[in-house]
Amino acid sequence: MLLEVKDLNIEFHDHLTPETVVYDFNLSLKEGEIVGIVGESGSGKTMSALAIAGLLNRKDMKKSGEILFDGKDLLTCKRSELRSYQGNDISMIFQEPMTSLNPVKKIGAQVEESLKIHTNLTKEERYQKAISILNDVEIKDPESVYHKYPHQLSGGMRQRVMIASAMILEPKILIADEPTTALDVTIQAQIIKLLKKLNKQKKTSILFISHDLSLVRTLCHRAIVMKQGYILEEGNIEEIFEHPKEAYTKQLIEAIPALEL
Amino acid sequence: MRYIGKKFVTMLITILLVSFFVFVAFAVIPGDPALSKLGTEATYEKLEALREEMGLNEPLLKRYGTWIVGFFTGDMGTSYSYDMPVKDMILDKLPITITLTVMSFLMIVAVSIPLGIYTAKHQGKAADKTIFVLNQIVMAIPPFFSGILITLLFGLVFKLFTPGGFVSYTKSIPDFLAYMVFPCIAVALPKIAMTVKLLRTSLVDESKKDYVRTAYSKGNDKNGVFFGHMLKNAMIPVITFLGMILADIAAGSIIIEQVFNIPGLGRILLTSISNRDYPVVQAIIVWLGIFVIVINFCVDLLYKVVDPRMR
Ligand SMILES: Nc1ncnc2c1ncn2[C@@H]1O[C@H](COP(=O)(O)OP(=O)(O)O)[C@@H](O)[C@H]1O
Ligand SMILES: [Mg+2]
Repeated sequence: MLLEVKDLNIEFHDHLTPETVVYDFNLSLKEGEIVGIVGESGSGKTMSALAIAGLLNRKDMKKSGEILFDGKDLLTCKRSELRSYQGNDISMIFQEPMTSLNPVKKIGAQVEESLKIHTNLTKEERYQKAISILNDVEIKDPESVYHKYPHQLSGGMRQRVMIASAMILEPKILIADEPTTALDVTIQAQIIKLLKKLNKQKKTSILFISHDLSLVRTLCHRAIVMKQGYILEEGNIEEIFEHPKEAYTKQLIEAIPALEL
Repeated sequence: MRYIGKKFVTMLITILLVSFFVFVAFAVIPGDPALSKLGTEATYEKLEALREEMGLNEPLLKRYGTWIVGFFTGDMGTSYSYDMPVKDMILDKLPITITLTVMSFLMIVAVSIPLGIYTAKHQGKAADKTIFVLNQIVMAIPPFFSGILITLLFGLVFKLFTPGGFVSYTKSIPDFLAYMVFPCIAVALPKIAMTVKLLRTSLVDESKKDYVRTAYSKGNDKNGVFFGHMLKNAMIPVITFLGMILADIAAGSIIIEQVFNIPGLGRILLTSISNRDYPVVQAIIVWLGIFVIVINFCVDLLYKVVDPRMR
C-alpha cells in the first residue's frame, strides 16, 4: 500500500472549546489508483487532504491517528523529513488557480521550483525538464509561457501550470483539491482528461477531491463519501453509483444533472 | 521602455508646473522686493530704476521664462539680503542636507527591513511583542525631541560627540560623517518604527495567501517561503512608503538641522524666510519639489521591476 491513513482526527484549538472537523478518517491508496473524496462543502475534504499533504497549521490544531507513507508516519516524522516528501513524492494542486501561483514570479521559476529544492540539476537541465512537463500538460508554446507571469494566463492555463509544477518530479501521489471547481465546463473536461492521462503515463496515484459526483465517476476507481467530518461510505465506483448504501449518497447521485461529461 | 519615456515626460511637466506655481506664489506675495532691498534709502527714482533693473516691470510669464531658463542653466538669481548669487549660497550647503537625508534613509532601510522580517517570522513571540511596544513608543516621538534626548544622552552623558561641534565636510569628511550620525538617528527612529510595522503587517497579510500554501507544498522550509516568495510581494507597499519617507525626511531635515546646529539648506531657508529673501526661498523650495518628483519617478520605475502586474 502506497498511502494508508488510519483513524485521522483533526481538531481546531483556536477557540475556547476545541472543534473536531474530521473524525476517524481512513483511507488507503494503491500505486496508480485514483480515489475520489466527495461530500458537500464543509464536510472536511480539504482538511483531510491538507493533513495528508502536511500542510495543516502546526499552531491551534491537534491531529491524531496515522498517515503512513513509505512506512513513515507523516504526522509524527521530523519536519525536515516531511519536507523531503513534499513536492517530491507527494504534491498538491488547489481549488483556486487564480491565487495559488505567486503573482511576482515567472511561470518557469514556479514550475521548476521543486527541482531546485529536491535535486542538484543544473539550470539548463531544470529548464529542459520544465519545458517538457509544460508540454506534458498540453501547454502550447511552453518556451514563451516559461517567461510569462501568472496574471498573463487564463484560469485553465494556470491550473495546467499548477499541475506541471506538481508533477515535475513525477510524485507518487498527486492530491487534487477541487481542481476544476473554479473553471468553466469545457476547461473542466480538459483538466479531467489531462489528469487521467498523467495517471496512465506516469503511474501517479491521485487523490481527487470534488463535490461533483459526475467528475468522480468519470475519473476515479474508488470513492469515499464524507459528511460533516465523517466517512459515510466507501467503495468501488460501480458499487457506489449502482448500489449506494446510504440515503445521503443516493441524494448526491440524484442531484447530478442529467447532462453527463 | 515606452513606459519609462512617458513617465519621464510627465515628470518634466510636473517639475515645470511646480516651479511655475512656486514662482507665481512668490510673485503675488505682498511686499515689493525692490523696496525691501533699498529699505529706508528708497526714493521714487531709485525704486523705479531698481525695479527696472530687477526685471520686476516685465509681465509675469516673461519673468517666469527668464527665471526658469536661468534656474536650469545655473543662474538661480541673486539674494536680496546678501547680494550674492543664490547658487553660491545653496551649492556648498547641498552636500550637508543630502548627507543628512541619504544617511537617514539608509539607516531606515538597513534597520527596518531585517527587523520587519524578524518580527513577522516570530509573530506572537516575546521578541515580536517587545518590538511592537518599542515601536509604538518610538513612532510617537518627533525627531526634534529625540534629537534633544540624543544630544543629552550621547553628547553630554556619553560624550560620543560634541553637541554643536559641527565639522564641515570641506574640513574633514570622517569628522563630518561622525557628527551627522546622531542627527540621522533622530530623523530615522520614528520612520524605522513605521516601516517595521508596515513590513510586518504586509508579510503577515501575505502569509495568509494561497500561493504561500503552494510554496510549502513543494517542500520549501520557512526561510524558502519567506525569502523566495513572500518578501517580494510584501515589499510592494513598503516601496511606496519608503519613497514617501525619502521625500519627507528631505523636507523634515530643516528642523533637525536647527536642533543639531547644522548649517545646511534648512538653516538658510529659515533665515531667508525671516529676511523675506524670496529668491533664496524660491530656489530651495523648487529644489525640494524637484527632489520629491524625481523620487516618485524612481519609485514608479522600481514598482515595475518588483510587480509584473504593473507593467
Ligand atoms: N479555523 C477553523 N476553526 C474551526 N473550524 C474550521 C476552521 N477552518 C475550517 N473549519 C471547518 O472545518 C470544516 C471542514 O472544512 P473543509 O475541509 O474545508 O471542508 P470541504 O473542503 O469539504 O468543503 C468546515 O466545517 C469548516 O467550517
Ligand atoms: Mg474544500
